[in-house]
Amino acid sequence: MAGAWVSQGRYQWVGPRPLTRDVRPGSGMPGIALTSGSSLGVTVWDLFYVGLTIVVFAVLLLILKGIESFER
Amino acid sequence: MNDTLAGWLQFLFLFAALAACYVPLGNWIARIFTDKNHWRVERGIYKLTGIDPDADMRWSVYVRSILAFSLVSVLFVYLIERTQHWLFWAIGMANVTPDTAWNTAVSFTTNTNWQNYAGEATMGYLTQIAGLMVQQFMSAAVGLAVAIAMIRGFTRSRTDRLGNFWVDVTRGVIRLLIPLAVIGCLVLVAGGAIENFANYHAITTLSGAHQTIVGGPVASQESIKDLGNNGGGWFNVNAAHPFENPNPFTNIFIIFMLLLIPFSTPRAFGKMVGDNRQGYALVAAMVIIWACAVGGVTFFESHLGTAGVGPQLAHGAYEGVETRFGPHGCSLFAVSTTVTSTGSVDCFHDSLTPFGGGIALMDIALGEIAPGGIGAGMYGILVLAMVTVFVAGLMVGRTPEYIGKKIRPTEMKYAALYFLTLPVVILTMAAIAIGTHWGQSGILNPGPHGLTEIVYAYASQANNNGSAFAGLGTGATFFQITGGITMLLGRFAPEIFALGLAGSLARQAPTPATAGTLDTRTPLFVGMLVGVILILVGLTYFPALALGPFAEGLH
Repeated sequence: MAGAWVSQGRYQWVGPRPLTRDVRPGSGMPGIALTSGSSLGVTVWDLFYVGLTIVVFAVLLLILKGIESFER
Repeated sequence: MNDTLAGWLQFLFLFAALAACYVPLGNWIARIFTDKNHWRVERGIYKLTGIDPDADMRWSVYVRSILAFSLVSVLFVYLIERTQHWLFWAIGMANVTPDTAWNTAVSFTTNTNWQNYAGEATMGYLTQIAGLMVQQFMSAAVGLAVAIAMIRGFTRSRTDRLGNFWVDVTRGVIRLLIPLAVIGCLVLVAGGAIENFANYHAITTLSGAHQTIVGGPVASQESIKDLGNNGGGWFNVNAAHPFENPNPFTNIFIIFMLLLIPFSTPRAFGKMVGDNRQGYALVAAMVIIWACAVGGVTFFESHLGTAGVGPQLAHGAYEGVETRFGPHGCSLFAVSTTVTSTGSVDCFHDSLTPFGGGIALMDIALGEIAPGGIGAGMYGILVLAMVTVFVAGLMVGRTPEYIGKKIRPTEMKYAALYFLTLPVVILTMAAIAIGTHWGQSGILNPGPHGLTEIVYAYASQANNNGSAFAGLGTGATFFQITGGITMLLGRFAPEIFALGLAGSLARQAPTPATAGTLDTRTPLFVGMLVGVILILVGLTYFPALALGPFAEGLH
């Protein structure tokens, strides 16, 4: 496929460079990159989301336990 | 050939293809989950993971296994996304931001595949394959496993055991999803979809503009994306992209794939309960709702039902529609993706006419039981069938029984909890979004259309559909968090109630049919079931539908 395009214009191999386009209509944020760059380290947000996941699953487990006690 | 005839032929061809697969695939699904023997590769997996395949689980243990498996899956996918830049096959993509990474991890684990990002511009190949595609197999298998456990509630008596979750998931993946996905991938590649590991190319076009040509194992992800009712596309524009869905043949094949397993599962149900006519009754109700929805959306999107000079001259509402497929291809796809929990799109749902979009929203609000998502549609319609039997019992004084099991107050409490969960989650989240400035700041289209967009977004996420009506700033942290919570509650809370109901049924002794038992294999029951589904949904969502799409359409 690349060959067909080369003859029509200057061929350029894209190296490791992320695209930052976000035109998905659902995002409602056209032109804003959603990727974070490559900053190192665990952020507060990481801890928040891991904690939030555990909390939601704990709520689901509580619902299950509630039903079990209701069954008895 | 005129558009209307082409639309009819497309629908009839699809219907015939699905009908031809109903018996063989349904029988195969039933055989997979009733086979006493384990395949060698399955035994290897059980040995490797320390699973006792012969252990039978109580319903609550079955639920705990699902929750544990899904919790680990969310955290694993989140980890891959957050570290993809340092892993191999990143193709230069940066690490995904925490809110998008979490929302996406939840989305793919819950079989929703709601996407707040452009796939080709955000995810590296490792993330797409080891993170997202693996979950497209696993989450689909989890849904199917729950449906099978629910069916065992009818087939077993005087026991509290519903099978082994790990065995059911393994068999669903090994014996059903992988073989079908391989076939689907080959057909898509033959149809022109791309399948490679090439890096991205930047080219200069004839007019001097620059364009990036992306690559990737697209056909293989497209295949499981549709077969597993996932919906998460490789590309930002999903199945409207020519590399993912190149032509009308692949378009109809994709629609076929996303309807294939859900429409065949009632046959497996009939086979497992030993009465194929029970399966025919359920699939008939599913087909009626699906066909009516296709007819409705097609009417409003085609020149027959489109108001305005432009659409009339263009023979359809073409704005936001991929011209390779036209309004008929768009309508059939839009309905099929919303009555299942797929969420893949080949046209822009925000561009559907108000009533066409209203039907798409209604499809999702139905709880996706016609035919619904893989497994989820089956256990959803079984719960509604029990509600129908109960309502019929109240009306004519018949004994509420279904497939030899009594529908007692305990079963009805589970059914009510199951049915009420989704409206509570959807309407509460939508109300919070409308009532707070965090939610209001994301509304790009005020008025009835904006209301539709918000209700659609939460209905889509709670029902694990994943399609977006768009026009809403769901990339904001508020929508990422509330959306993620909605997806988790919408997926697992109903599964807890469905399995609790199955456990309650399994404990019962079988009840032989008497003269007072409602025959649930007749057209009368099918009609009642369709009526109960539409009335329940109509009553629940009517205010939102009236203030959103209906108000916009009548304006």
